Amino acid sequence: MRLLAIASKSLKERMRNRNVLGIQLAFPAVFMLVFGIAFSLGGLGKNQPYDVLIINEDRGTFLDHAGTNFSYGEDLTGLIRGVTFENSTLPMFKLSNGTKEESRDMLMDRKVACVVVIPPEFSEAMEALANATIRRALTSLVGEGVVPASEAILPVKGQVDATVRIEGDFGYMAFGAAQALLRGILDAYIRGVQAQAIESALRYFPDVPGPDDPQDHVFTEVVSVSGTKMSTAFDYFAPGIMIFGLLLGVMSVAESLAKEVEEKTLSRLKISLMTSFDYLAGSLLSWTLFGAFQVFMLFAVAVAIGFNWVGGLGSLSVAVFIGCLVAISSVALGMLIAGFAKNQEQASSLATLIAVPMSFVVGVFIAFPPGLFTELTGLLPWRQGLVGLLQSLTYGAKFGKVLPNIVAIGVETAVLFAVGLFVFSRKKMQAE
Amino acid sequence: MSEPGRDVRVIRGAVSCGCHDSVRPAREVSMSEEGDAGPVAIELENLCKTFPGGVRAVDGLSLKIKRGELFGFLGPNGAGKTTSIRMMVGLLKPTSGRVTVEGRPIEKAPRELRAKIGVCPQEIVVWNLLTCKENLTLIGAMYDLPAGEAKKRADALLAAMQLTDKADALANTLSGGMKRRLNVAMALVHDPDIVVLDEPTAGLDPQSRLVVTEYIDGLRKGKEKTIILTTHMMDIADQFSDRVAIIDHGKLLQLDTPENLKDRIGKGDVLEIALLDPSESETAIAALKKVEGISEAVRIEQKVEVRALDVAGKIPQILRVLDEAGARVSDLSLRRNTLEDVFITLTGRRLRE
Repeated sequence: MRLLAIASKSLKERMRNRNVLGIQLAFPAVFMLVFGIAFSLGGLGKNQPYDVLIINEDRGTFLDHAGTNFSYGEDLTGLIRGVTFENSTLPMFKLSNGTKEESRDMLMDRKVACVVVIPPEFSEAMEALANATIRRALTSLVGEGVVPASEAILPVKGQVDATVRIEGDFGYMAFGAAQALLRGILDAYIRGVQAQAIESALRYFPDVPGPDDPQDHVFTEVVSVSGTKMSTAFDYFAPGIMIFGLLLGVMSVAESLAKEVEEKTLSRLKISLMTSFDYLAGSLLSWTLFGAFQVFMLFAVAVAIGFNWVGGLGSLSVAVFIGCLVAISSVALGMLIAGFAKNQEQASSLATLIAVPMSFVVGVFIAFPPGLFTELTGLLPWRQGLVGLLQSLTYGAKFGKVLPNIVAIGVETAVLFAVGLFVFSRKKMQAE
Repeated sequence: MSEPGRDVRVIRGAVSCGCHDSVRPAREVSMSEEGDAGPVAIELENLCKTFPGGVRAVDGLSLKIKRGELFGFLGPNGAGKTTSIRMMVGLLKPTSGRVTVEGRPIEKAPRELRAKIGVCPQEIVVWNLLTCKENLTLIGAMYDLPAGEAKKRADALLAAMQLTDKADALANTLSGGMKRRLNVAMALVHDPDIVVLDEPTAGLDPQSRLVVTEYIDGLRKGKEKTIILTTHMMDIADQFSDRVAIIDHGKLLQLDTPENLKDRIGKGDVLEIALLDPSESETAIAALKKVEGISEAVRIEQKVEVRALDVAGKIPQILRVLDEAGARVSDLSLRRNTLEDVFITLTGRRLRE
């Protein structure tokens, strides 16, 4: 009850102090933006061809009406190769060479944005689609009842289906764009084939209507492949900047608690039934909610400016969880600092003095080689957080692999909170 | 043996206060016997507080505050009133001596006992980004009041402090007077048995002052709460206190009922005489002290104050004596004895100096 009342009070105060709230939220986001632009967005705004690997397994089909073999797969591949950006001669896709066996590695290395697999029965299915289109158009005029009489001139419907697979990582922005474009092209291609079929029927039946919407026989499937490797330096740095943003929370927490001491509102609480735990855990709760929001915001900004996270929603959930734990660590450190600070100014200076060097020490900006130093920094939850975020977001590690980091953050945060609680209680919650 | 209820005069012997090795000289402290009778809410025993740097804010303060009385702490700014209060409620550790609340040392008092105390600090201590009602209900929650009860108490207090229309206004939008009224209300939301009001009327506009003093008067008349009121405003201490402790430089100078304190320095009224030439004051005082029935004649700032029974009737004689002494009078004023006169008699200074 008391704990929740403190949490509610703390949240209300923060939400109503709009200017400070804006600064607290915007500062890390702006930082992320600046870093993102500096690292990887030199080419932002320019059209660049998407690297695509097309695995054409199409065995072709014999066209009765033309009396020749034809491969719709090759036709489609040629179309994709020839597509250019609007008002430009720049090709939209750069087709890579590779086998089906190599395709997964190429995806994982992000040498290609996506892999398009055209199945062996693609041409047969396309032919069946064309025939079905003509049949549907003709029977809509004369009715199925008279079809047997004119069977000699109607194409055979065929019972073949084919699915074109587009494989890639949804965490990779290039795949998101490329697969959408490819689906559009395939759809346009199918409509083109249908239109062509209708056109040929028009020679004999001038009143044949255009192709209707249903597209049987040929389908598209988008297959998500997670865990692909990152492609920009920013992808390496974005998790670190998230940690940096959360470390900045130390200053806000320390200042906020010092303000409560300085303005003597804490004295009012001290003489009540409230305990140190009520106060600090209540404050922790509200700051953690704030931290969680900050994690989402930092992540959103990072993705918006080109961070290619891997692993889909699963890794995002793990990352958010890690971010929240790291936010709690920052709150605990803020409490510890507030315990030693006599006023807001001192709290702010002390927090800056600790948080900024800490960000370097844990490897936010500099990747230290493995050794004793990195072993020691592993005792800091921010280091564990950084490693965890890199593992889950950048390398697409499964939950089990980042679990040791999560456990370490949990333990280190608990210790930090206990120390913060002890120091704050002794220094600020006792009689002076 | 003194009769119950009668004023007694005690001479305290040399007392070691514990916060320094020297021995204080014997000092005369008057105490009403009533003050030592009945259940005690708070007791201070030889309380001392020396701040870093050697400033001794409280120096061997001993007194008992009875349950159900309104106890006034009167003294100028810097006398040690607030420091004493902070030690009484457990916010400040004494350098030596001890504070007991209902017989238990404050530092060991169970939380339930501490919950019986409500404190209105001298400074305005409110959460500026919470509304008036939220400020009150937050304090209610801190004392484990059920939410409904806290809201009910908050509404009642807002009404009593004439802040109902500001219930949902953020505290930082209130005027200084309104904030101070909210400050007082926050000390009372959990319905404490002991209410400590540290300069509750300081800096208040007349309207706010009336609201607060009327509320304090209502609490006092209820006789259910022990009220400790610190003030440097003699009229408030005089009007509301059952007993008044006058302190200066951290020491207790006098402790008694307001009437007894005033009587002690001489019954009657005070005649303030302004001389054309203030340098003639000493001559005038020497002449006045020879007049029969004048209990005291002292120079206070630029005036000479004469205290006597039926001082109005003695004015012709006083004017004649002054004329004979060659002291020319520019103005005369007559007023009743006040607690400030008591303080002046004890220290030679005014309360507001």
